Amino acid sequence: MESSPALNPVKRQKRIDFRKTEQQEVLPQKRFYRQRAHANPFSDHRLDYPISPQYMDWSDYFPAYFPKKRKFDDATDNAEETVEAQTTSDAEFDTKKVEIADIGCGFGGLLISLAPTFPETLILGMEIRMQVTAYVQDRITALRNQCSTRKEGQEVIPGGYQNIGIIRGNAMKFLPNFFERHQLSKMFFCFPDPHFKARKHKARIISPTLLAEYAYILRPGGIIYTITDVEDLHLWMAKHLDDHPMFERLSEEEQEEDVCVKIMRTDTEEGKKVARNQGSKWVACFRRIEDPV
Amino acid sequence: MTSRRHPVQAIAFAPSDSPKLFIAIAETVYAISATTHETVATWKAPPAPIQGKPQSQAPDVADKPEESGDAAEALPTNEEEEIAATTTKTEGNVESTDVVMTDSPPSVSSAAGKRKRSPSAASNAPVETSESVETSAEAKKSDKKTRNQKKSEKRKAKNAAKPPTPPQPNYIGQVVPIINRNLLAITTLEDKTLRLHNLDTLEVVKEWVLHKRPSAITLTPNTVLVGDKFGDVFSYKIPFPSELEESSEGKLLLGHVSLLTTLTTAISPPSHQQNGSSGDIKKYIITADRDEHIRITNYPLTHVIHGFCLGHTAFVNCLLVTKNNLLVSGGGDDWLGLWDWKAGKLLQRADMKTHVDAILDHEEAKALTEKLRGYNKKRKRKEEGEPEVDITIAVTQISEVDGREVIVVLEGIPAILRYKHTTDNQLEYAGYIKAAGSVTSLTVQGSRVYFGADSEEGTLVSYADLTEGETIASDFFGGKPFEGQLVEETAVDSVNERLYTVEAFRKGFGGFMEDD
Repeated sequence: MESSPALNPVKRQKRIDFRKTEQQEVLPQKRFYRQRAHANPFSDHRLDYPISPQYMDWSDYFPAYFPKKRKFDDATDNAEETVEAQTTSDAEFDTKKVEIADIGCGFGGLLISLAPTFPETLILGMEIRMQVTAYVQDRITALRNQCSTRKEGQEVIPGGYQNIGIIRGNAMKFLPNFFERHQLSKMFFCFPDPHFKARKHKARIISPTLLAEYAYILRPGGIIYTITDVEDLHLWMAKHLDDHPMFERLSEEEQEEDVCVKIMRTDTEEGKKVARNQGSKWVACFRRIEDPV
Repeated sequence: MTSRRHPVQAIAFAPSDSPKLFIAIAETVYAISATTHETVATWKAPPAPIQGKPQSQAPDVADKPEESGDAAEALPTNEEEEIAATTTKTEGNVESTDVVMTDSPPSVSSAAGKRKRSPSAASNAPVETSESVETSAEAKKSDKKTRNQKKSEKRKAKNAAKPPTPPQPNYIGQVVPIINRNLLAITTLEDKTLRLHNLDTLEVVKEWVLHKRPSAITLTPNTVLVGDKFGDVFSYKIPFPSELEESSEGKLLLGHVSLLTTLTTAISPPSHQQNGSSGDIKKYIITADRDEHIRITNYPLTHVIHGFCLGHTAFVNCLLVTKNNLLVSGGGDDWLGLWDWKAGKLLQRADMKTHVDAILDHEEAKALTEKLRGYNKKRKRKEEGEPEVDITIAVTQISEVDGREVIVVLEGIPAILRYKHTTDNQLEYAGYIKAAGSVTSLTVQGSRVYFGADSEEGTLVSYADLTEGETIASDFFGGKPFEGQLVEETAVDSVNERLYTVEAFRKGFGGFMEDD
């Protein structure tokens, strides 16, 4: 299930060997996690997603904030009892909710920069490609381990990377399964797949119909951040957000003052790549307005 | 037996001055008087244009020279394009090659896209900038090259083996009367068109070509809402007679990134509440998709999503807002969902599976299981060796009769399930109506249901009155034969694939693309 069929056997073996070794604090290497840059958002994949936000077990993603829950499969005896047990634990521990989502987080550069900037806020990256998700997961684990065994002279990271998580998922289909109404305060769309062909425009992550879903999940005052190196796509995203009655564009000044914009420009993996090639980056940010009465 | 009767795949009743029953058989709609049972009008959908041929030709031509290894000679224009692309790159104006691809015509872009992955073509191309990098990697890529070639050969062989697809019959999708305008809305699946017909003569008075194949249709007082297989919902304004000549277009209201299976409308607070002005009444569109979602969207402010009803674990295919303003949902799960839709709260899971299993004895169940599997080739292959009795639940219709009971049709099952509303707002199983064959269509008029069944000997269209006591279905035509359509034995499978499409929504089934 893990390996893609196109991978040659030698590479695959190296990949497997690398992942097997106990790498408590060693950062993963991208070359062992390559996967083609596109995924079809309309196909089924093999995804895990909760029936609804209440069913989501966040403990695998934010172990410092959520207690380990009893798995549903363990309870062969009485299903109702399990649900009971869960709701009590919910009330005691799970008070925090994810508030920032990085949709299509890729190799996780933005997540890792955001982590110490918002140490008290849970930030979730969502990525559809399995290998890339595995890379970010290993990277987060390594960073957490480095923080917990801090040596003399090492920089203190606020939050210790416990506040970031990565999940494999299809955000275009299943956001409402993970997030309740008005749950998020920020959503990032960094260097999304441009889907150039007009026929493929519905596969774009910003589309008139999907914006209604993002508006549902964002709280009033919440912000959508977009950045791309493809001018056409930038114009498309800005146009559709401009046209959507639930969003208003941030002024130039507001945008430049926002710390997230700075991070998004410089710290995303794609952003770094574009900078190396001395390319242009287009940014557009939009605020979700109050619900109409 | 060399042929069999084509069942009725869609049915509707219009209670006008001269009440009529409309039945759709393959590409034809028949208007039948409900009193005399005579056919008063028919309409046959025009053949659909053959699709996809011109596009599939072009890339094939571009493929051939690449395979023989002299792409440079055969594709001079493409070569120039690529050089142009790389020069802009060297000038420091960093547009990726992808950007250039959009500007060029589609055939060129596909060829260039292929070359990027094919080292044979890349080494032939006189490109200096990337050459140095390419050569170092050349050795490694050589085995990849043969693999790529093998792949493309395989693909070509597969394509060649495929006979050209014959023109598909333009099946009727949905048939919905618009009584107060004396119109009938009909969708056709192959030419993807919504037409409005005169309710009496079936003459076409208006037509819209849809964006994608329609999968669901519902009415509001002034519009027809059409949901499609791409997940979008468009609204089409129902024109008054004076407006028929004016051109009008569909308006995109909302969209799911999934196959949209059904849609309905709802209002809140319920209309029977006394407290006055219509300003208090809020309207909603409720939509459902193959990915288990039920979405409640404000109407007409469709950019505002009110909420979701989440709880299903398989596709949702049918929705019904009951008289007491609860939502009933059904699809690939073994149960019906009963919802307080405004709050997104699941009130009850009303079991269907045990009741369906109880209808059939072992032999019948065995035969039905085989039949269900036979409706789809992929499913048959996948479920080979599975238990011989395994009746799958796939809801194809949910209707309400007189505000008293909810009736449910399941794909392939020769019965209609009945559920009564209890006083504490629950659904309670209340028996079933036996049908001659699997129920393929159903409509409700007052306390009477009309339905089409797929059977050799049984009645084509039956009706039953759901009043007190035992309910027995009777032949609508009173034993008179109906000039329908016969299906040749060789075409039985393909007809089945058109009639029985709902179970194929299930995931892990191979019916849809699943990649990783």
